[in-house]
Amino acid sequence: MQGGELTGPATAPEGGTITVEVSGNASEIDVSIGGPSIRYPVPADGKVTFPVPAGATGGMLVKVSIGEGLKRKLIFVEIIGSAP
Amino acid sequence: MRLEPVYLVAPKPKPPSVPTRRAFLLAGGTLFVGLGLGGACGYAAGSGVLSELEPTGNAELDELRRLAVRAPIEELMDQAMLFLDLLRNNYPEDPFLWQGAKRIGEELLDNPAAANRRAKALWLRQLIDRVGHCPDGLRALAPELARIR
Repeated sequence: MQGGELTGPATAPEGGTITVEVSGNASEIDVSIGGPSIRYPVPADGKVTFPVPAGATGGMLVKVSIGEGLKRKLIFVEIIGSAP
Repeated sequence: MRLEPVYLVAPKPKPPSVPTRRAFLLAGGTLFVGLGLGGACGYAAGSGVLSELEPTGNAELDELRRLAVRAPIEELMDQAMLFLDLLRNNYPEDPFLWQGAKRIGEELLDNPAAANRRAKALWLRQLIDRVGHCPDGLRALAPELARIR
């Protein structure tokens, strides 16, 4: 996994999906809600769609990152809970 | 004519006090001994931390440790999200980095004007909840962090 730019939505619905866009030469993204990460490969068009991680409920953050170490790029997507 | 002894009442002679010069030398000597002992103890205590923060051979870890322990809080807060992410993923056992996480938590509680305060507090709390060996001192901040809106 190498560097690049990462963009994505500010929010996503609980139980839904998140699509992020990767430019540059990153080969995979890293997704976490604070525990162990899940990695998804980056396809040729740079758009990665993945499900909101299990356990991510309304008000929580999902972290998406590319790259390694101090050059890692991060974005955070806030999960919007389903209406009561 | 007969001689009678006469007894005069006089104050009991005081023992001679320490001359001013000797007292000054004693006080001065005590001061310098105290300063010397204090300095030596302080250096010994501080040098332990300094030696542990000596280069590890891992530039990334060294930089994170510097941020955690030595950097001004503003610099640490600027890098807080990346710092916490690298702590979680790469160095979850490093005690110095956990000190940095605690500094971040305390700053978030103390400074309502901290940039991106709510998101940082939320992410720190999620880490606290999901890292089993999170230090107790940091874990204790979680309820207050949860109140940041």
